[in-house]
Amino acid sequence: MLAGLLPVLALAYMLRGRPRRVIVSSVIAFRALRARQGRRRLAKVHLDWTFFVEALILSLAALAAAEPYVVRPRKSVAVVLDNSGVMQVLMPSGISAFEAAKMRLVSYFAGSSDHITLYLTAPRPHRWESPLNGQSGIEAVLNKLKPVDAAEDLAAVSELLTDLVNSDRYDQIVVASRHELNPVLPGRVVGLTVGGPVSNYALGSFTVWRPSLTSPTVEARVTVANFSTSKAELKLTIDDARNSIAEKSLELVPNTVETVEFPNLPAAPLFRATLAPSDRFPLDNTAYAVVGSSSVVKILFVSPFEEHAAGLRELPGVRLLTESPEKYSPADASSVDLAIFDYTAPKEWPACNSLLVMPPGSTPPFDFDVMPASPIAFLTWVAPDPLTDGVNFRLLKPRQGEFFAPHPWMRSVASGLQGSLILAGEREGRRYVALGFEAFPYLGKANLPMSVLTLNILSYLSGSFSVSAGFRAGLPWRVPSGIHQIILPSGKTITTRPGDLFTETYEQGVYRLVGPNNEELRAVNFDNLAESNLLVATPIEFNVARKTFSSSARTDKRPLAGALIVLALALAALEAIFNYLARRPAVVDAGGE
Amino acid sequence: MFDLIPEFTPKLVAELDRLRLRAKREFVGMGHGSHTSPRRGSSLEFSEFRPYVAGDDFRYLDWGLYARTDKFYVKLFKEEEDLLTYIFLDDSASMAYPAEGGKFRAAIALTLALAYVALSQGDRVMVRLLSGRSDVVNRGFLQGRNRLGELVQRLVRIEPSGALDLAASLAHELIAIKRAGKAFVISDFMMLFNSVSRGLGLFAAANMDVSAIHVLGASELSGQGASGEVEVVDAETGERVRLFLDERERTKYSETLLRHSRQIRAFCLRLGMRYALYNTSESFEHFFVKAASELGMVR
Repeated sequence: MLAGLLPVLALAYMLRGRPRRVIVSSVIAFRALRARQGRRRLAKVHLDWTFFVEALILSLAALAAAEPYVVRPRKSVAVVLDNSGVMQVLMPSGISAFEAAKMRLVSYFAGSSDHITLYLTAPRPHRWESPLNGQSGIEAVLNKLKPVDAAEDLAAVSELLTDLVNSDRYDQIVVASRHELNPVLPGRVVGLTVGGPVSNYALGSFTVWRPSLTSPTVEARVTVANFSTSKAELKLTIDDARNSIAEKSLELVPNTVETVEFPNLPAAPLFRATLAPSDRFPLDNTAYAVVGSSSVVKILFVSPFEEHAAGLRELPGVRLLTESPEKYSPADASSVDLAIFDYTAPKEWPACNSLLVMPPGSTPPFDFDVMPASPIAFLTWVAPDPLTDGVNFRLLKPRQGEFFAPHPWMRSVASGLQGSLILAGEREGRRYVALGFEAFPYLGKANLPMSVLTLNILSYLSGSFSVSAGFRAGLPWRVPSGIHQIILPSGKTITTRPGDLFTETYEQGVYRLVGPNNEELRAVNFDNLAESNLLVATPIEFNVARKTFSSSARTDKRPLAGALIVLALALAALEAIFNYLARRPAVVDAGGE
Repeated sequence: MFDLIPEFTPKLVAELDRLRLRAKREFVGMGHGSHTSPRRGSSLEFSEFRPYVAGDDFRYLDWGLYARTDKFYVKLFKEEEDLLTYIFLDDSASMAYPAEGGKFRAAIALTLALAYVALSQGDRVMVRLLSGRSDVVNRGFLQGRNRLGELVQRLVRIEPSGALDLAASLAHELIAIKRAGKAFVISDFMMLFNSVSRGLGLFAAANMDVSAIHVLGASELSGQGASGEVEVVDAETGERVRLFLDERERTKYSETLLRHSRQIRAFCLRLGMRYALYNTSESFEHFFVKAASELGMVR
């Protein structure tokens, strides 16, 4: 280290101004003076400021070589920060509860050098990627954090807190949240509670569905709650993200929840519900919904008998594409709402909901075990069920067909004497229905029971029949097949693979699921009336298994060598700069007359 | 004439007019003058008696002595001649330093003042440069005050340069001197004492009446403006000495120079020579009047 510093000192020395040259009448007396100086001890040492600075630099370098360090006692602290959606509630001062919590944490750790481990509570309790050191460490991380739109899982937080409190890993646990703590454990657990009771109007679930396959309108249902201490006059507005299409006024007494229906709304790909007046927690004043299918259903009909599709063309709102089994490719299914495989079956999972009519047996991936029969009769069927709704099976008497043996993952919807005749199931986020009898050609009113069953199946598979409550923020879902990219409401794009568990659902809004040939929308809402009730904050409860905790005497050895080297280099640089600036010309006094 | 030499104020000239050079002993001159000569002559100053021999002018017989001793004696009288004055001026490079104080100009002023006094009383003056440059000053005596103007013109043109070996230079000059007389050596004596003593010793041995005038610059005694970490360069030899000078060291330096001066003075006095130290920070007029007696001048 010393050897490394020598070139720096040499440079600083070389930058010094050359000694002033003075021409004198004779150097005889000077020579005698120098001889006298040379005889003196330490004659060459001129105790000017340069000597002291360089002595100090060398001392610092020598000290750094000894690798000194400062020993400081250090606590290990776990910080649990509530970053759930309710922390977005605005305080009377105008800042959010989350910002207030961050400020209290920074203030709490002012001047601290504690070893801090940060835990966030939403969407699921999890630990921050790396430990933090003291105030500066936690302040840097907190500046980057924002609350998510997801609700908090209070049970999971309690579990986390129980684990932390009963662990010897931490000397102290600091919880920054809207919730009080129970029990109170002074010294061991510190609760930094922010906010207080807040009056709030909230939207709960928001669902939109098409009443029938062929219906040109949709229906909507919204749950509205008044979590305040007084009666509220609220206005609920539905829009399609561009224009307002419906609105209703309602009067809610305190602490009540009411469901509001909106029939005959014009179809649109996206709906938004907005609650007025706004309050201090705007997140739950807006909700989004999408309809599973548009008013026009695109159906791919794959069959060796193209004439079987003739009747389907007569259905209003249906666009039919036909394909022979030989020409079918999996890419064809990715651009339609549903596919019908008539007397054939795909060799791999189709990228859409599918109906298989009289599928051949023992062919992957469905691997049906079929047994031909003639005639066939329905003995049992599941009711109520969207597939069997309104179908008179007693009148439905196919001339011939095949029975399905029990299937590994498809349930039997209707069966005859020798097995199932209708199977239904979901796989990889897709719905599949298999029929053991001929449903086509579609004969309409000429065969009413079959027509009703066919329409039920098409409604079920096209998604228009189902009433979907949408998705909650923070809850993960499987990526549907054919989807390779998901665009979040914030615009962030995430590349993914079908079947993956998608966990980045912590934003409220509409997610765009994009595939090579298709795109679908998915609405994600805060949708948690328990959390929306801000009048009460349920305490976070945790269990304390023991009463004493060993506080291991942790110390922090902070090395000083680096700082000393930096100081030495800085001094050398300063000396060099000063010498450079104070450099004098080589000869000042040439003298002479 | 003296416009070129600021030191020559009217007051100084008036003082110079009152001064007379006096040698420590009698020297043979080159012509009639005001200084007694070892020669017997016709002055009014009695010298000695001599027994009368045939052919002596009996007008110089001392009749009183004849009456007392009954023998004839004649009275002899001293001769009065001019004094040969030699002024040796150090024009080596060291005389130019330190720049402030005008050391060399002071040396020229001294030369002219001494020459003025000598020429005023009718003595002969020879000015020699110790560097040996004959192109500036001719070898030969000046006589008569009217030659001063010429001398001034020549001296002010001199630029000090070169190195000086005082002993060798004075030895060389001594060879050329035919008759002894009064000699002035004007120098800063910035050389080893050995060189000074050998040079001046030669003149003493040659029966010259020697006066050494030691000229030092105004700042020469206080370190010549050097302080801190300095590299001093000898103006004559180019020798460099690197050393650190602070207030204490400058005092030591001053003491060294003064010791050198005292050493020269002691040497001069021991050999019957005269010595005067002139620091140019002092008024020239004041110095000259004060040092007149030390340099063998009377009013």
